[in-house]
Amino acid sequence: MNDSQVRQQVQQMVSFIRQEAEEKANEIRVKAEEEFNARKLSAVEAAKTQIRSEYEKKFKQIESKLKVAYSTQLNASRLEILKQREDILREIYEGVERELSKARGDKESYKKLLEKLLKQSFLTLDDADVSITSNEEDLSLVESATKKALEGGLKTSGGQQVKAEIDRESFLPKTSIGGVIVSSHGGKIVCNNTLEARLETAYQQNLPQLRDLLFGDSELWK
Amino acid sequence: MDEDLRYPWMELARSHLLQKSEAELLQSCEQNLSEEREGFLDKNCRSVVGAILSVLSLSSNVNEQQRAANLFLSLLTSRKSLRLEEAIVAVAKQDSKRNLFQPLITFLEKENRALAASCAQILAILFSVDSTYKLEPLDLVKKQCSHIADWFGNNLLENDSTDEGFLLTILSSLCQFVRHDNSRLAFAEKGKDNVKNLSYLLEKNKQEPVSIIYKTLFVLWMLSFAHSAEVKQVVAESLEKIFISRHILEVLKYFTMEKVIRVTLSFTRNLAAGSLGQRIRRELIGAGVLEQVVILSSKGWSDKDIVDDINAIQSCLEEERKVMNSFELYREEVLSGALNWTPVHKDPVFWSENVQKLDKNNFEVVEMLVRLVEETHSSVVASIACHDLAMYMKYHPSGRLHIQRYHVKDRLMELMVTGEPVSEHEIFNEILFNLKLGSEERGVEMYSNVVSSQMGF
Repeated sequence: MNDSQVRQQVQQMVSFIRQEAEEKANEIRVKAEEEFNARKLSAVEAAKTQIRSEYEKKFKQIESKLKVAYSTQLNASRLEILKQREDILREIYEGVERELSKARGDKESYKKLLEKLLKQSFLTLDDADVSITSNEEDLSLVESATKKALEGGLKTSGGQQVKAEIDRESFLPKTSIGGVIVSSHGGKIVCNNTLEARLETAYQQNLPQLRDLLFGDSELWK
Repeated sequence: MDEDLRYPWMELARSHLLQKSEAELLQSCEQNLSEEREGFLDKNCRSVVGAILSVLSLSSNVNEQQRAANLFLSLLTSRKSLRLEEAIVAVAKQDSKRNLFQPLITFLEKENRALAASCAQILAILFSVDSTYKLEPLDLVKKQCSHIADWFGNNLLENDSTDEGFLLTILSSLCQFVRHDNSRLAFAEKGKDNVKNLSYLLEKNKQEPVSIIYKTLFVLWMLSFAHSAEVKQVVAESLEKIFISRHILEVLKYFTMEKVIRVTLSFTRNLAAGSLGQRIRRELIGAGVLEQVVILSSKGWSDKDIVDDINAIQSCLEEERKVMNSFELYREEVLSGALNWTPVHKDPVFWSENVQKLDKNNFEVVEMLVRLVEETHSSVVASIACHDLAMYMKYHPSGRLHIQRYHVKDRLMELMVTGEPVSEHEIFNEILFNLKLGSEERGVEMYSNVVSSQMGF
């Protein structure tokens, strides 16, 4: 072989080797790029999921906070409403109390009232010996009312004559607005017919109706 | 030569297709040496790109187009193409009505193969730019991608007029093209033959030159880097359909070129690592790739990457193999299409225990055996498949009835006549069992046909 042929052959080998090397280099590059892409994608996905779950958590936290605040507020409002209602009822009670305290002013009707109260007490106690405690200032009224109440001979269910004794030693406190306390057996059984007691009873008994009248179709009790 | 170069661009300037400045630019581009070109490019990127695109879309002279395409290509493949990418982005954004790919796509259809090939290359690169920068609306890109993928697929089929150079160019551009998930999806789409055409190139008896085999495997390797779950599934299905495990086994067995083995091992490593699903992994084991890789590892390889890949494949596949029982191994062997005389085939214990399991999944294994008998070119595979079908009929109470459905007798006859002695034996068994079905007359007729044809009457 002469020089040019040798040169040509060498040239061919050189280009062959070069091409092989370039192919390998290409493979290395491509593999690296693809693996980079794959890792980048998975890292991005992982970060995305993490961020999403973080925000889920935050969102849920805020949501529950809101819920708690809402129900706290709701409860507070309910309590407020209840309180207001109680206040209104209280006002009514006191108003009635004031009116009642004027009852003594009208002597005639007060006497009639005392009479009825006494009669009811005697019947309730159903005892032969009863004792009457009243206000100091009502004493005379109570005396005549008692006489009137016992008129016609009141009898117990056992058939005995009722004897009433008015207590002249101890009286109802000055704060009492009127009425009497009748007791028997030495104070063991008591029928409290003071006006304040009657007011209390009337109030308690009529409370549902009162509530209904005042607050009517309220959702609070639904 | 210089005169020639000067002529076309200036001509175009004169016919008002190009501005004079652009023509000058293109001219200086072509003439510059590479180092000067880098500096030149930095300054004038945008205008150069714009000029080239104008030529491509407006001119009607093939030579000019070819020149412009070549220039573009040489620009794109030069190392410092980052600036170029930005320039392309800038140009594309500037003129929103002009679609970046359309003119090039029309060129694909032209008869001038060389031009078509260059355009394919350009397109491949441009697509990668697009997927990084998202230049065009997504559905348009998808349609174009699909179109290009189909063009690639169709041109992979060889016919008399195909020349090797063209095929190589196509494969090279395909390597580039298929590196993005959109393109992977378009190429491997269900119902299209693209991947199948690719696999034809790998057939042993076709004896393609090494460069083509290498590039084909490279493309497959690139396909296996699918990222999103959807694309992974599509690619996996397309690979399973073409019996990829068998191809891999054959390549590893019969090719000695280092670069071919290298690429195949990288490809197999991706598959074995399970990124494309467990099914392919199992099929690899079933096809016997593990054993072949072990054989390869005993050869001394100077390339560390090859050794790495071999070790990785070995550990992945062994790990999977541990959890497979003998029936699963058998099943994967059948499904992979690479049947071998492993001891299991002739083991009566195996058959009596497991024959019913072949019916699972809609007779998947049985159908595959039948299909292999019908389609395979390899006599070994055919004989093993026949043998297994005979075993199936022997041990399965209603085996014969099932096989009857597939009308495999004609094919068996064919094989008898053309087949080698080993397979004949198996086929005889088959037919004997079929005979016992009760279609005695037909059986006798078949038998006498065979005998007479063998005797040469």
